[in-house]
Amino acid sequence: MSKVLFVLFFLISFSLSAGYKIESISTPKGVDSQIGGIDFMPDGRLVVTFNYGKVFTYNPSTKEWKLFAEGLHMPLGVVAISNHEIVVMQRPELTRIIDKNKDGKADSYRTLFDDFGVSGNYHEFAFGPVRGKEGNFYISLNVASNNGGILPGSRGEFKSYDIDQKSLEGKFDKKNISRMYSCVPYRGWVIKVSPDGKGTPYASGLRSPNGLGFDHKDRLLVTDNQGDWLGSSKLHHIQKGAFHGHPASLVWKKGWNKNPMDSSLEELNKLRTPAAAFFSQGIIANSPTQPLLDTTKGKFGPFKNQMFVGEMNFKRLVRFIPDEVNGVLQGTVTPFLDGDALDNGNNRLVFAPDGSLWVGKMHLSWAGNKGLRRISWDGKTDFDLLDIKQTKKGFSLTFTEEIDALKAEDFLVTSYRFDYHSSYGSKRMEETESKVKSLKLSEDKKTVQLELPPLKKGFVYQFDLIKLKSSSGIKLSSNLFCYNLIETLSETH
Amino acid sequence: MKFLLSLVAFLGLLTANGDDGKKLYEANCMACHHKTKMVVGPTLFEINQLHKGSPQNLVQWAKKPGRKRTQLLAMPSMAHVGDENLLLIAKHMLKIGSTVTAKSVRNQNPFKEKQGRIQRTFMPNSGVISFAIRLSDKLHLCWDAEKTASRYMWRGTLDPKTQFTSNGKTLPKVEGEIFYKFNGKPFINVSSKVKFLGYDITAQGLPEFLYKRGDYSFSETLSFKDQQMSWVYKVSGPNELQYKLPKIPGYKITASAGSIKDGVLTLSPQEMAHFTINFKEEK
Repeated sequence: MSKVLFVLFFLISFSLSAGYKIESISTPKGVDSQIGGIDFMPDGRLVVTFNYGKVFTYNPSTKEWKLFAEGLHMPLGVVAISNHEIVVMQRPELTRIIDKNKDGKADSYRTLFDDFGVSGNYHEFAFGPVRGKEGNFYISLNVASNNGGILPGSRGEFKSYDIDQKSLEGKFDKKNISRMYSCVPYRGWVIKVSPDGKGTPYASGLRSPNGLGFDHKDRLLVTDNQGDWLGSSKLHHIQKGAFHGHPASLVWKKGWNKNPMDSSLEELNKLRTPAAAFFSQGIIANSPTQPLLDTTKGKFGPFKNQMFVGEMNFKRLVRFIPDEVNGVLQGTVTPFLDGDALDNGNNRLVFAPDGSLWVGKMHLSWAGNKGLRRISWDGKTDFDLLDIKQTKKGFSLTFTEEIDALKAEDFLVTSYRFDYHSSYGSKRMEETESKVKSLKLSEDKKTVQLELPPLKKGFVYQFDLIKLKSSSGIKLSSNLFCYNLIETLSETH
Repeated sequence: MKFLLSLVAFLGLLTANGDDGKKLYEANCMACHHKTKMVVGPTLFEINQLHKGSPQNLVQWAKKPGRKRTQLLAMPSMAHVGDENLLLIAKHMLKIGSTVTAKSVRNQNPFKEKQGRIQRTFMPNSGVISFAIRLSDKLHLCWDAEKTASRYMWRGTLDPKTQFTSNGKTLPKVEGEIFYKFNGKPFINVSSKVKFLGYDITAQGLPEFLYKRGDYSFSETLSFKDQQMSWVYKVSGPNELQYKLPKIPGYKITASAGSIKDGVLTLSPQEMAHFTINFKEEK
């Protein structure tokens, strides 16, 4: 019974925000509609990469699909360069695909960058690209999974301090290895690729970085999936030369000459850059995908400078609300557009010129889905969290609508942290309620200043505002959000 | 005691009903309706989605089936099985169908799509950067971009298995007879350091591969016309080129330029600028 109530509560509390309409767009017949990449060409056509390696363009006004390219190996990202050229990340390489004679179908496939290893392990997906303002591409490379071996005839130097190459080839014995590994170059890294195809290893420490995007300050953000060394899924602010926590990739760090798994926790902790956000497992997201900045200038709602992140397991997107403390990016994640209308498997996101959000789905045999959705906004704003900032005594929460009655018991705040360790995932550690000491409402009745006990670095602050209602009696469209605290403002110490 | 006896009888009846449903399903329905695998008609998972909680509706359908999926065979009426038995079957099918997840159905029924004529993929017995190339519906070639060479050819097709729909752990399967295999170095006197540059699509829809090996630049076009295969090379480099001619039983293999000695074709820089290897099947 309690299970039923829980499900019921879940359905009610995360109903679809008012103002958003979700349409299913039919995909080409005979084509597996798992989608690895989507982008818009300058002329307004959508370009979509499907799992069997076909690339189609879709004209939203005529609803016509046209085959642009085919035969790619698991393309997981695309950037449209012009109406006749795209850059696609596929398993073996970053490829320029050009329609030279401009008949709508590509005739030239040129390797832009392939200077990284491919061991043949199934889990070595290649993600991206995204293109920075300066024209460079950024890609991210998955590490190999201990659920599989490698193929004979791999590409790139094989290097491991404890696994023998031959023992990974052919009949693979799972007992030989108990964790994700990086046995060929730059697995677990983000790589910067110049427009003429020169690659620079940019940052390390990633596990399954299925999603890259730039924020409003052109900072590169990359998601990573819960697993070994990741207590919960993360959103990283990728910084040049930084190590983001998963040690397997350190094998390829310049000057590194030992098994990273032999490093002490203390050593790794010193090396690593903390994540900007944690997607708390089981409540926010279990397998986050691409982060996408709201660049619509108000055509998709009031969430300027915020990002939408895809999610595979839950039927939702996640909204990332950035904060910056002592120059460090950290912030809040909250469910967005929760429910059956969107469904799960939300892998790739792109804004159309008209401000609608297009979502491509995928499963790859894990939790997920297929197909293409278009989400548009009609200008109606729901009662929602608009912004959250850390203050010297707690947090400042701004809502989209006015609140009259302010009660401390409506603001349930708990804090916890995730352990950094080699085992898979982490329980919530040191979970405690953070009792609200005082509340203050702003003059416009939209901002609440919460005073809490001293804030703790390295903790997630989870807000459950189930009871909170707007002045007009509406409950929050998403009453759950989690702030990841890396830095504190001085007076909280 | 009496109570216990009647309980045993009651339980026996329950089991008998359950067992009967299972037996009747196996005898009458299982040939077409599998738990998770699409055989002739929809899976028990799908049937449960359609008739969840309404075994009577399923009985009605089975007695007088409609035809929703025109691409499948029409289901014959099952009225001869009898209402009582049909109800037992329906209950059994829905019960089994309710235990199945969408994921397991998906994994049992990978989407088989026509692959690209030039399809990049992991391939068995080749390097990880491989192409499966459909010369014709019955003739395929596996080209290895790390070796920049054709690794094998087969008369038959390629079953993608779950390489593209799933996580890529399962390799595609070569279906048919492999009649050519190669695992060497085609260009004897050229460095084996390879830089693969990509490919263009020819008018035939086949690839013109572009790559570098040491100081040499290569264009290699695969052609298949009038049931005859040829490999067209355009090479530039500092010296002559020595090329190991492929050997295929039942095929006469000739070169359009250069001189052949002990199976090695030697081409001067002028000759290597454009030469063709022709494969003619001997009758």
